[in-house]
Amino acid sequence: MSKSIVPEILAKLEPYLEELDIKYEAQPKDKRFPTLPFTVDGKVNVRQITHALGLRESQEQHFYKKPELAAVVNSIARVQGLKQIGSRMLEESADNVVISKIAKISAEKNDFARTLAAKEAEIESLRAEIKALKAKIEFIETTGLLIR
Amino acid sequence: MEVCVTKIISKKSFGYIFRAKIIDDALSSTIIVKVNSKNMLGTPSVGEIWDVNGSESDSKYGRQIEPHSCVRKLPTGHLIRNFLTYRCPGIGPARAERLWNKYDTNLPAALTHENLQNLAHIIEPTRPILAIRLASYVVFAWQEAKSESELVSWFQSYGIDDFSLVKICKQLFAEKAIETISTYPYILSSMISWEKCDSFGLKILSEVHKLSNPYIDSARLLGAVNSSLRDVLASGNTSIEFADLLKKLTKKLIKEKNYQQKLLVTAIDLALENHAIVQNSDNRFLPPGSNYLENYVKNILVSIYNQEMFQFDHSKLEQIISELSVNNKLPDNQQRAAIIKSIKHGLSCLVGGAGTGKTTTLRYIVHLWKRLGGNVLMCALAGKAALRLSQSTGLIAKTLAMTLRDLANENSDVAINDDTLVVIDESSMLDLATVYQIVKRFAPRTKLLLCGDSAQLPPIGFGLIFHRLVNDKSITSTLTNVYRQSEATGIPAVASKIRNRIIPDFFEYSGIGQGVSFIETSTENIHNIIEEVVTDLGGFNGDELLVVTATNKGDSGIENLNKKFHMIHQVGNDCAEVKGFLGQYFSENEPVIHLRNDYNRALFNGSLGRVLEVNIKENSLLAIFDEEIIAFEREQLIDLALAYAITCHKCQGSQVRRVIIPIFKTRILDPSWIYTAITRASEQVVLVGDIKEFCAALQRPFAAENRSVGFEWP
Repeated sequence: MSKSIVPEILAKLEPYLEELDIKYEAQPKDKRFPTLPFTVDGKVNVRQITHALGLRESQEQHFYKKPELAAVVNSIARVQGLKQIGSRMLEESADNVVISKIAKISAEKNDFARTLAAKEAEIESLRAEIKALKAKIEFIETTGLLIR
Repeated sequence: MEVCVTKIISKKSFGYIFRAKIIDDALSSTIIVKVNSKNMLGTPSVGEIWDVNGSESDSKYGRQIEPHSCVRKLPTGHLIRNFLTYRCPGIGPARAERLWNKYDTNLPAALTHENLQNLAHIIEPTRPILAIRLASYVVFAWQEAKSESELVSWFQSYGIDDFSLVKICKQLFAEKAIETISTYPYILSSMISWEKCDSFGLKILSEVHKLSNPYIDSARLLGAVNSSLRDVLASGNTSIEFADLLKKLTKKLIKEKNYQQKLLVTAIDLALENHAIVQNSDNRFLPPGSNYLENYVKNILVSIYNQEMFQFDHSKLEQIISELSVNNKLPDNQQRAAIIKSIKHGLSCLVGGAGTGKTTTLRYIVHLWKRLGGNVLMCALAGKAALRLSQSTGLIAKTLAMTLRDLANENSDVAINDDTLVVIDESSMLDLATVYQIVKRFAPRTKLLLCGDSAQLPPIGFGLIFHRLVNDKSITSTLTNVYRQSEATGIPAVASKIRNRIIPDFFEYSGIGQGVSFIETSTENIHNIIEEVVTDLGGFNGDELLVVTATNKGDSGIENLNKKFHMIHQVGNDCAEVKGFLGQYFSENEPVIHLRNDYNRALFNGSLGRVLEVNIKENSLLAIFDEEIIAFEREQLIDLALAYAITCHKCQGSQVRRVIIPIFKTRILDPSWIYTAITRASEQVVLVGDIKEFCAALQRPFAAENRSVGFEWP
């Protein structure tokens, strides 16, 4: 299993966001301006955050796919009046997590059902074998003869 | 014809009556099927298809058939739904319908090949765990029905139409029956006659195994040995000498003289190599099954024998004996010694002739044991003997069969433990298989007391235990003082002489009286003289008179005598009769005997009764047994036979006032046979026939002495 990147990024992201949050709060209440990087249309600028953290450009995608990263940034974005990071992708991602969980449960259930079916068949087979063996023993005990 | 069951009208242990629709009948007519359990394989359920063959008739209920063969057919088409509904627990019509809707006419294939999970999902999609269990029931029920149907057809294709054999094979081999029997056809040698088995086996070896000379195949040779051992056990023996075994094998194997000696020696060598036969230190050959039983029984008896003796205070013993005495009559010295021996030792035998006080002594023993803190389990092979034991001791005694059934039942309060004294009366009738069944339930310190008369006939089944044990004086108490039958009858004295092979003095016959008489006549005339004597003695009324004869066939055999006296009864009384089975007819006031144990109705093999009334319309009757009135429907008449004349084995345990005994040349007559027959009478015995044959019979070995068994004691 590949090591999750999230803890590594979070280790850099959280102090970064905390600093930005302190700076935001330090401003006068009626004249506060976002300290979180943002685009011209008022969305969080994820690319700039990626650069600020010293991450590779390819790692920008994690902010769209990992709810743990997006949630932390979005909590600051909400306070500072900015549009939150790419919702639909995150929803899909959340769905995917749920779907893969359901699939995993289903697969486990199927495995369980398969095992149960095999066991039931084995039980019935053993019952039949025990019945036949008991009949053989009874035959010997009542007739004095073996079956061969 | 093939019929579809529409309603079960009657379901009894001996058979069924059901209504069915005739398949392939343009009018869809119905028919009533009345079938004996022996003629059918399995039990019918509504919706099943059965193939019934037999004679048809018309009754007030409509068209009727009494099949001699009744075989369930594997259902096809939509009838599979009924099969699933009624044969598979938990399925029901709705789930059966789901399976049918999914697979339609491919349902049989699906039940054989489909994945269990898929079937489960169709049966009950909302309850997956339950559904898998249901699916496995369905699959196995189908497999079982299929293999049963295939087995019947397969056997029929080889000319074997024996339902009891099919039933046994189904129980022993389940769905692998055809495969097993095809591979080892002589596996049937333990179950059917050699002729049938060999005919079947040779066909299989030729056609299936493609052997060019199946006569010398090792499977056949082993089968012949096994069949010879079956013959040994059927004659009551459990061992055979080499020469006798060779004779039996010769009869079975030799078709081609060139191979004679080789085949016999090879057969025995093969049997020894494959443990199909055991050779003991006396160079006798034993069936391995009965050898196992004998060794097991011996080990238990040795362990009981080696128990530490029970210690008790003699003065306390005397006090209890005195308290148990009736009318101040104390046990005599012999009885007292017997009481003490039975209490002290783990294993003991109590032997004595008729009227010597065995039952009285038993009464002391069982009550004494209880007073000393133990518990008692009393039983006898025959129901009548158990009843007498109960009546005389005041404690419950049951038949061995009921006792074993109770012991196997977890909910029963009958149990054997270290404090139990197991008392078995009429032990001369105990065969090896029965002794095995009882001793395997013993606790380490259980005590056993076997009571009986070793001069009586040996058991009908194989083996000999009691007759061997009584030779050991250290465990056997013998009672010789006669009490019950008064000396005036002379019966005890005659019985005692016969026991010692001495020709007794007979009273002269003069009609109704007491004692033992002998009327000499030719063999051909015996049955006529018997008829005269019956008239002299007042006829067959109540428990007054019985004819005890040695054979079924012949002028003085059971069949002829019963027929004769039935006709005399008919002519004399002009009464109606109902037809039983095997040519038997029954009328009012005729003596009858029950032929098997029926615990539900407290009837036993050998129970004697009398017909009270007959119902011609229903072909049924009412009979009285031990003051109980019992109804016999048509199919139940198979369990009854007329009892003007019965065999000696059947009358063991019985007692009547007068007995008539035909004496003619037959190897069955020996001292134990004559002794047993004579001691059935309390007042008068009339022997009729050849005095020379009587004398010759007295010189023959006792039947038990002729029995060759592997069990040795001490």
